[in-house]
Amino acid sequence: MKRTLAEAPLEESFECLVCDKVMLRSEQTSTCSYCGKSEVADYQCPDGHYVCEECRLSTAEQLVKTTCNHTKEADPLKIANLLMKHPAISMHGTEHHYLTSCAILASMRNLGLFDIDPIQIDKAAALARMPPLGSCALWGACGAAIGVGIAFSRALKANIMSGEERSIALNLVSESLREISKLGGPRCCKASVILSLQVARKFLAERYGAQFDEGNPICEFKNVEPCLRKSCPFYHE
Amino acid sequence: MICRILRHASPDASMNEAIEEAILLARHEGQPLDTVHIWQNGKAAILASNADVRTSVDEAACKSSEVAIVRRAASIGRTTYQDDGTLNLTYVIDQKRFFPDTDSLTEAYGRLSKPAVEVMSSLGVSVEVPEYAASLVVEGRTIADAWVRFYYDLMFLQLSINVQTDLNAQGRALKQGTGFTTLSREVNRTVEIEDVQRALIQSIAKHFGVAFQEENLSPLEKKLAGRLHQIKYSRDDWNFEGKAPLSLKDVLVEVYVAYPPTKSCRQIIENVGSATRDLKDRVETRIWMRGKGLDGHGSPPGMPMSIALTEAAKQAIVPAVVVNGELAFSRDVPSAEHVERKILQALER
Repeated sequence: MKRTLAEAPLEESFECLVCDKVMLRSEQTSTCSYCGKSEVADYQCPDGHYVCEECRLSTAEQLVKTTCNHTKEADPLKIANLLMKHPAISMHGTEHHYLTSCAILASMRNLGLFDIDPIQIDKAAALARMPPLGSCALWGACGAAIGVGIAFSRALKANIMSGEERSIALNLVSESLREISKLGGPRCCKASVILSLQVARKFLAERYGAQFDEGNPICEFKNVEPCLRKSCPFYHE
Repeated sequence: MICRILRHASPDASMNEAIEEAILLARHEGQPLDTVHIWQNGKAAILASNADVRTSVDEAACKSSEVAIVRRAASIGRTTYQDDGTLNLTYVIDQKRFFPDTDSLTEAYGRLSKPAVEVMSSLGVSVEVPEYAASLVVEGRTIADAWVRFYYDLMFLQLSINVQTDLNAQGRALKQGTGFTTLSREVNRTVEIEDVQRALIQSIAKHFGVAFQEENLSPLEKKLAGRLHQIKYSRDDWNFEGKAPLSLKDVLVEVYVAYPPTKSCRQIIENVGSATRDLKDRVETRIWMRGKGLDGHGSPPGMPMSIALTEAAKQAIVPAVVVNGELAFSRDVPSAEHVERKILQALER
């Protein structure tokens, strides 16, 4: 029987959180793939990925805010995917609600479309925390879809007296909910995030000429029960 | 393929449950052969692991009829009754070794049930095998109950076959004691347990191409069974309330660290190691890595985190140290002395 970690020394290699390649011991200075901090790495991926100690210990919300404040990535799907690979983000949970809104805001900032500062990210996260676990079933409104509305509402500074801004937020939530509803069940937070962000991307492309990678995203979290498998458009064997 | 055939049983139903679990644990710890355990119990109401004793059995009736009430650790299966008219067939197998061509648990269950189905068919009893590890039924009447449990890569499947089980006694012992049948009833004559046993062994050998090696319990299994009986199966808090001990040892220390472990995580692991060095006989340590499971190798079936550690993980309390199901240290790095003090306190309780 294999010895447990409690009985044997810690392994000297671990899988990279970002790309699954084997990371080896390192003593070089590296830059954190999440928050951008530079420090002497203990383990580093051959492709240069590194997760700093603070990010390894982060809560989900700390991680989402820090990453979205730092990232230079313009594609919200890539931002979300990086976040979802971190152990702080569980397979299913309310963190997907604010992850969606913060990823969109970061994307809009990096596309140069809106002036998004950390306060905006904080406020979006606070709002997107509100839909409870299971709001998709309990409210008929997935929190990830609502996250899309929150992001655009913050960016466009919509309020109850607004005209077009408010309509945009409502329409995007509606479209996201429609896409998620077509998927059927049981719920998958990963698929809901991807579908919601696809709606956001489409709007950013059509309205602002933003350009993103073509092609259907492939889910990197497959087969964790209850996976929709071939019923999911992002499933790939 | 060689399999062990084991026929051992105790007159004590709670010891039999301990033996069954011991076989499973010992197989994981390196016992080389898969096991087919064919055995009989005394009068016993066997509770499913999550059953409520109050709604499952008539305790007064069990007491007056000297029917033992014991709880099984299997997570899939329901409460049932056994006596000397019941024949138990338990498989403890390495699923990948036994079924290298499939990952499907339902398929594995179906195949493992086939010998029993074939034997019953040979007696003229047509049995339905439901899809999900449920009982074997004859026109809606349960003729054999099934329990399934997983532990790492191992599968534990028990079929409890009503050969000549006393259904009246069953009806008295269980709150839901109807809807059952026996082989003898279905064929309208007394079916002998030894005949069914012999036929089952032949059928298993044929279906799976196994050669049987008749062996008794190993020293490891006897030791494990004794310990399991002492801390779990002989105790009311398990049998009546479903409260399982956290570990076979006296204290369980769970350490929750980042993946990869940070400097502080490594220091905690080292300090816990120092604290438990002289207490290894009494203290079990498990290291869980955030998002990556036990020892960073996933979450093995049958090896859950304690409730306290699950809560700590949900709240992102990392690193964390849980001692006997209580959060002892959160986010700081306790010295080896501090950890040792907590463990000694737990040992004193």
